[in-house]
Amino acid sequence: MPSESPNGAVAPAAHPLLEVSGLTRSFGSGARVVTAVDHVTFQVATGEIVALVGQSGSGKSTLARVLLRLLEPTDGTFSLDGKEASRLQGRALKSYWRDVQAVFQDPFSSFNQFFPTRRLLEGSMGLLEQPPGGNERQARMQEAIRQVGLNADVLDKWPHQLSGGQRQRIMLARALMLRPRLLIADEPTSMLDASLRATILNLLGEMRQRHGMTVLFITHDIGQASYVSDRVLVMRSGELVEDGSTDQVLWNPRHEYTRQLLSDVPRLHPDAAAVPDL
Amino acid sequence: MGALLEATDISAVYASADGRDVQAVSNVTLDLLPGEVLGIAGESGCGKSTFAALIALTARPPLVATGGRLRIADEHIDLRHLEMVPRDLRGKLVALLPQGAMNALNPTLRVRDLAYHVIRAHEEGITRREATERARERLEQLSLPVRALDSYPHQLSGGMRQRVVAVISTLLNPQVLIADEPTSALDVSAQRALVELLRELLDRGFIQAVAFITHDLPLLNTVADRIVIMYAGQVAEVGSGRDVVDRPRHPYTKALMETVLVPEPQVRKRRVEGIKGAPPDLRFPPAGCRFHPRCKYAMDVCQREEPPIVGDLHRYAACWWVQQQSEEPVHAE
Repeated sequence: MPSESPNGAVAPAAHPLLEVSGLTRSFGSGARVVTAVDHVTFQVATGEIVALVGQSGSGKSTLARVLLRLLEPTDGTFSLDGKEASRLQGRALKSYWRDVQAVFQDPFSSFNQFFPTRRLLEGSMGLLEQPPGGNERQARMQEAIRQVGLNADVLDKWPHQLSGGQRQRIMLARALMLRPRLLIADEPTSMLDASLRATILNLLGEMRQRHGMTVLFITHDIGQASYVSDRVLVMRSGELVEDGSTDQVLWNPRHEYTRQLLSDVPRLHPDAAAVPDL
Repeated sequence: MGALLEATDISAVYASADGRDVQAVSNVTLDLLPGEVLGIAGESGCGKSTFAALIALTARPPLVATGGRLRIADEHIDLRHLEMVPRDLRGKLVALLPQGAMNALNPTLRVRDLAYHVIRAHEEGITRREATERARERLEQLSLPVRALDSYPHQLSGGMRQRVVAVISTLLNPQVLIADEPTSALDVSAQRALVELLRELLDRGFIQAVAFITHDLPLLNTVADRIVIMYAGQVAEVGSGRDVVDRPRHPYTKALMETVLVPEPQVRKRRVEGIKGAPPDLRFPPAGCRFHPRCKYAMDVCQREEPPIVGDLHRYAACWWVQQQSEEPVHAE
């Protein structure tokens, strides 16, 4: 077993990859307006794995959807690698999507039930500037499938023939195949059993090490956040209440809400100090 | 102390038209002691919810019990003919708290109407006013907001809904409450509140024992007195929470515990590996021990013969390797 950090942190680059400033999204109008994301400001450096944690309804997924340009922001901006991205349209937006990819919580809703896996993966390669053809396309698909721990035979299966864990891994393979610079993973493991969860989280760490991929990992599970991330952002009612290194947020939280959240998390070893290092 | 619920050698299948039945639960023997929270854990498809449906007496075709005996309090129940169990008896013996309380509540009825329907099913003469009064009293005793009675389900938060359903479903003081993944849709704070409520229901004697089914091991460790680990429809290991979490014996339990990610310092320092492979297709369960294709300690005998029970009814593992270990205590791992 390696003695250093399992995910092998990379030294952060000089300027942030993702820079979010005053980002706001509200729904409804007049007296019934609900502000799901409320003036959120943070940065993510290249090669960092940043966890965004918070309870149900705290605005995590809305923030993800705005960053993915699936929802328009009400106010504020964000930029990728110094280039403003919050108002992109047309070809510029398509190019943004080459750099920023997503994996969602529910792998059921991301599949077209009438397409086998191969067609799904081929289709998403159309997003690339120069889609590879023939043999290279097949090789790239097989490599992506192997990376997520699946066999090439899933390429010819239909969504209903795959288990939830397989579907989720294919979604991850799809995103990884495009070699995005930023992966936004919104609760990617919540439908998976504990034994598979670790495999997926380890894969995120490997992709960062091998390709310098940056990850925004959204979860309500602080245990997973603590395993994989370098930094933790805590969100409550649309606002960011804490932003710090994982060690600082977990062992020395500054905000009262973070402390409350941590105290509600069930532990495997309530008297952790007495437990020998496994 | 005699057991409150005794399930002996229970087997059940999901019947399929082509004759290849799914053997969802095979020869499960468990008991539930008075005052106890028994945790039942395992991965998706391990049979824990199927077993819950059987002991909650809610099994319906295609789920069919094929063998075993069930006793709850003084009643011996024939699992193969559940329709013969009188309805009023059912409500006095067991109550089921399901995963999504939202789906269990009629959206057009207020919570107080639900309470009325629950009580009336067992006490025909009761009036709405009496039923509401009884539910109000119970909520007050448990320090839950009484105004929930006048609410429609959608007006309550997910956590409150789950707590209210727990209270309403135990209005008749059943012997056993079966909670089937009651917390999986809740965030940590709501989980904690529900677990505390279940403890209070027990302490006040409204229920006598709880079977708590979940895949969340850290949560189970905070609530359960004893833990049962299931794999592929069978019991792999049973023991006190402490024993199973800190001193697991079965290779599957060991592997499972290593995959748990909790915010504790040692989790950040080590690399956690998933368990290789996938649980078996229960239409064609592997011969011998069902875990052997994924087990790093598997021996020849594991592929041929069902594993032995090592230990007694309250602390055991079903495993050839564990048996070998207990015979050779100095064997190096």
